[in-house]
Amino acid sequence: MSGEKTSFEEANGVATGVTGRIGCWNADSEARLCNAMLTVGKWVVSEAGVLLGHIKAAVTLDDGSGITFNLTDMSNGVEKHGTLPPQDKVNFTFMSAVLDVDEHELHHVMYHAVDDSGLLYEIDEPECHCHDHHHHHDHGECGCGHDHGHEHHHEHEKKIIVNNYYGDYYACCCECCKDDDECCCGHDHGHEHHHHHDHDEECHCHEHEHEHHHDHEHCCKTEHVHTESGTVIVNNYYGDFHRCKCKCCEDDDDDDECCCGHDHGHEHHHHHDHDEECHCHEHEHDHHDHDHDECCGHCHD
Amino acid sequence: MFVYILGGFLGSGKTTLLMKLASMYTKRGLKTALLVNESGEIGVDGATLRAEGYDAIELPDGCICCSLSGTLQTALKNIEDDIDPDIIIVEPTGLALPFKVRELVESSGVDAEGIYIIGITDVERFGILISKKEEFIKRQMSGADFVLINKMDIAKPGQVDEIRAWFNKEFPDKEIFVVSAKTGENMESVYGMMK
Repeated sequence: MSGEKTSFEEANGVATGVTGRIGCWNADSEARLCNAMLTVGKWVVSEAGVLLGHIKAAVTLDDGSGITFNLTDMSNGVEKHGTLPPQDKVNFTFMSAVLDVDEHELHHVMYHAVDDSGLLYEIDEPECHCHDHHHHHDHGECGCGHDHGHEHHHEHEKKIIVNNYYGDYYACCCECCKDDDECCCGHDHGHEHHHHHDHDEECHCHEHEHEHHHDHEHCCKTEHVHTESGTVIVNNYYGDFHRCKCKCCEDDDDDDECCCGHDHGHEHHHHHDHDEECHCHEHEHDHHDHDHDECCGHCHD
Repeated sequence: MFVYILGGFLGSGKTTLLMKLASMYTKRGLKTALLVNESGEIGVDGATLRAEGYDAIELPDGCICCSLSGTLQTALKNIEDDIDPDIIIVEPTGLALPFKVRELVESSGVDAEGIYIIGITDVERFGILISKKEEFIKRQMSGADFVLINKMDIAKPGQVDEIRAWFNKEFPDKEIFVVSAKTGENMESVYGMMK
């Protein structure tokens, strides 16, 4: 066979499929499965110009009896063979053998077609690095080595699969997906990921023990707020409110100068938690609105 | 023992034909073994056959004319040893080259009185197939001992004549039967060709 094209290569054909189980099988499920097949068929036509090949599905019981579906011509639609009364759970196989499309993309589209079908399904994966949560975040890098340049939020019952750098769906194997409490980045994200912020720099100063919804260029910005009594307090890295002890807060009369020597040409309004201790100065007095461009470098704007 | 190889493109109706032939042989009282090859890791034809009450030997995830050639030969020997059937019907994938399958059966060491290829094509998509993959279809049909133009029940006027004209031009020696494996239309003439 060496050097000689296989018949598949000669025809530029590919074949792929998925297996699994479908819950609450009934006429509605049947229609949904047919719709998933048509979705794949339409995609093949959009890619290759025509559906050359077939898209098949079989829905069976454990004893092997069941029904089959076959799509070879988009204008004819899905042919169904056999009958199957409603079932609590059935096994299914879904496969495509077609020409002139990319195999990985085909596989991807088939997954999506099933996922979007509304079927109560469960797909067999070769190896599931199981995790049960939803990611809704973009982050440039994950410690698993994959480039998750995407949002992954697929949930197939208890298995999350991700659209990884191959363009395929895989069970995510990164540590942060395995365990919500531990992220491979070294931070403790004891929460559902909901990052909505851009930052180019790697965060290295705090543990995120909360959900944060903030935009910042750098981390460790705190916000000073005023109580009714006029006392300035800081929502600090412990998640608590503390009285601000900085000189600039202490001295209402001096908006321009802080004891740390930095020019705080801004108004303090930080409003989030972080656990890095500020060690450049002690804030021992009230302060008022003032701006600064730079402070000690890690806790203040 | 006779071995029949069903050669035809994906979706041409090979599995339906396989079931018809198996039923026909069973009615004749002959012991028949079915060997089904599917290209993908995930097979549906085996499930189809089981759902219809047939028990077939499945060879999934590859093509018996190339990557699974050794597997095919081993399977044939095992079938001969364990079942000793009168008839073996082999359904390769729709992307297999049947003449290669025949060569593999010949060299497998099974004691076959005859090995035949039934070429099958369907009226539905023949035109588009020829326009896009004519060379492949020619190679697929080249080893056929006779050809079935399937799905006559859904043929539009003129379609069958066009296909027949193509075969007459490319393979003038091959006998052609226009059938519907699904409805059974004209299948008696095919059965007449079988041993």
